Amino acid sequence: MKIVHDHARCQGFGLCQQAAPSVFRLDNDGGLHVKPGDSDIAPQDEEAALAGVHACPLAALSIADT
Amino acid sequence: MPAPTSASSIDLFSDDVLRDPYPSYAELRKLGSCVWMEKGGYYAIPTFDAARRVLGDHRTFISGEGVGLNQLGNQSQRGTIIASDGEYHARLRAVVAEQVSPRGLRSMTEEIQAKADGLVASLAGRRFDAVPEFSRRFPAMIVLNLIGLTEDDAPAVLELANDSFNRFGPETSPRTFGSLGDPLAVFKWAGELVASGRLRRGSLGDAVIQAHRDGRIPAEGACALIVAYLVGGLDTTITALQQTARLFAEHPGEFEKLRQTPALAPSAFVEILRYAAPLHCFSRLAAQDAEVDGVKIARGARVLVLFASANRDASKYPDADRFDIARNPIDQLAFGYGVHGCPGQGLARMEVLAILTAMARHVKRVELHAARRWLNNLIHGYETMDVTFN
Repeated sequence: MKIVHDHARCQGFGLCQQAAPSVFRLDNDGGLHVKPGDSDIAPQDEEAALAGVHACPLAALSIADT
Repeated sequence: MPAPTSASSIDLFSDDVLRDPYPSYAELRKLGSCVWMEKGGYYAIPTFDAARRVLGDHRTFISGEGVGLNQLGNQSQRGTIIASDGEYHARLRAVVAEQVSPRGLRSMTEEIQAKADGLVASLAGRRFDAVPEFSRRFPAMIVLNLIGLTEDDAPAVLELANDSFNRFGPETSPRTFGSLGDPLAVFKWAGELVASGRLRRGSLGDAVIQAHRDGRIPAEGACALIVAYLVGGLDTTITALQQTARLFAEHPGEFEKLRQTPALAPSAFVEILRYAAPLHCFSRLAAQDAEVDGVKIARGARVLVLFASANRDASKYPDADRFDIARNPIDQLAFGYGVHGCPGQGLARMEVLAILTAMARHVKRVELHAARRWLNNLIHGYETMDVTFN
């Protein structure tokens, strides 16, 4: 499972981080960092990843099958 | 076998229903997730999952033909940020995305917190009308500053923004076209503003004018964009503050929870919006034949997404009619969802959190002695609220 982040839609609201801080982190400039970056989400983080994707009110996050 | 279309004769825009729509919403949710509204000639979406799906499918359920319920309003909206689609819509969003994002608003954080604290401290121990003194004053200060204006512009702006949301209503409601004001007045005012050059450098308003100068948007687009952020940024947040005062007066135990644990403020914010959404609905047009949970919708049909009803859907939020500031419903739909999701929600969050924090600090108990509702087609707020901040 990989997270797809639509940069154009993202406004740094941070609900993804609020829902799943183990996967999503906003830096001080409001830029989004997804752990572990370009690699697959670890199985134990999948539930949190889905919660974060679901939480985005602008639908700027989605899941891609690898 | 496709589900039979449930139908209802409820008039969602009658005085009685506007006064308290929640029992009607519950009735609609019992009928299903897509209900044909006989009196209005549109489909209502009262449940959470279906509402979110319709909002998320912006290619099927488009905004470019207007998001209201009357032809005149919808025609005149077309091309504005709220009523456009695709690449042009994305371009409009991009013009001020930076200024209105939490990152862009960072420089206003201290000012917002200081102003909230100052206002609430000045009201503590007093009895006052919360509509002008509390709910209008604060958002006007903040939004005007953001746009690049000053607080002196507040009376004019509030007057001009006043009836905008009524114009999204149905043809059948006397409220929709009943305003005495000139619907174009706010655009004329914005045009003069753009021409005046008095918008503060670096402000959101200035960014919009720059985008026009750079050829990214036409002149009418620049005016419309400024109007959109003014109108969108005022009555909605104003109403959220009214509902905050009302809910804490009616649920003193919840206010006490906030006083004891101010860290509950972010959760309280989304619960206030879930329980008492300021803006109740917007419509979409089906751009092609579609289906919502088995109910067939023909191309060209109007679909009204009921955010406030979806927020009380018990299949999504257990015990949905209970106001619980610890619930933390972060996916509530008062800001909409998807590509048209409210771009100002970062600012709204900053404003309301600052007020909640200030209330937790300065106010022991909120009392509501009397209130009169303001009946508006989309916004569910008050004309007057006799309040004491003890």
